Amino acid sequence: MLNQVYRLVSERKFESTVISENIAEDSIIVRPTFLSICHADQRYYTFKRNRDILATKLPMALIHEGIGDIVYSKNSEFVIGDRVAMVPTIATEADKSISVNHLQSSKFRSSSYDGLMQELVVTNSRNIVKITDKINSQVGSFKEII
Amino acid sequence: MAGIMYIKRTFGINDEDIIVTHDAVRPFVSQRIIKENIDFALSDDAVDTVIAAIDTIVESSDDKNYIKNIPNRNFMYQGQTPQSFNINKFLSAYALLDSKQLDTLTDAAKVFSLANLNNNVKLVSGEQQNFKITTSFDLKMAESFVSERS
Repeated sequence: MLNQVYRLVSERKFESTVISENIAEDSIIVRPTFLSICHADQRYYTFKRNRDILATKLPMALIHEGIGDIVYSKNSEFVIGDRVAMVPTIATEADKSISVNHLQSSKFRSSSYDGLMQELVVTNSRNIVKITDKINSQVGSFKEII
Repeated sequence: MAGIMYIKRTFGINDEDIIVTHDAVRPFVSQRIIKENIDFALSDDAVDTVIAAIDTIVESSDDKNYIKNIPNRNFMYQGQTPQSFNINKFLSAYALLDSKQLDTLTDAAKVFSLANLNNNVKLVSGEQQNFKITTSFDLKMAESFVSERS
């Protein structure tokens, strides 16, 4: 599937890139609807990070907090139209004693992996959480403690 | 037209029904373009996706050997797709055309334009990357354009 990803390429400059996404049997595709901007994103955008670090991370799509609507799923627990929050930590392996967010091999959106500034986010059931109707989307887009 | 007739036969057409048509050779269309097409096809009669002309447009003489006219580039656009429209309004406009006009048809927006319904066709901003892949040059461009996620 072709996807448009809006990556930060230099100071205050975004570029649209077309990515050929691999869709696996368990892939779920989410259309981002409400995103929130973290201070970490602002530091990338304004180039307040160390230049050497920036050089290793960019180009990269920003934003790691946000919600969206499922537009594709073969999973019976998550169906098209479900409103979900996207978990920024992406596990690349399973470990019995170390949790995902402490594993060296894990990736984190808008830090070591493309964030949510994409037309569509290809994810899976382990990285999304359904949002109840009681939470409105503006509030739901905030994932971290305010 | 075959597509519209199929919809008519299979589902029937209501006055508020719209259709979004797209060139299969434009795979880089964005969600934003599609959404604006749907939104404006619902509020206006028809939508054409265009980008501002980058190169100067030159109109040739009939024998194609000399310049006839150079239109003001500020008002020149290049047509892309999607083209979207209210189905029943499209059918009414189509019915107004004579056989000569039907012969010159190249796209759906032109149906409204030939039927003198220009003002009802809303322009939506396309994107340069929504280009058409029809030549081997285009294909090379397209291949170099797509990246894998690292």
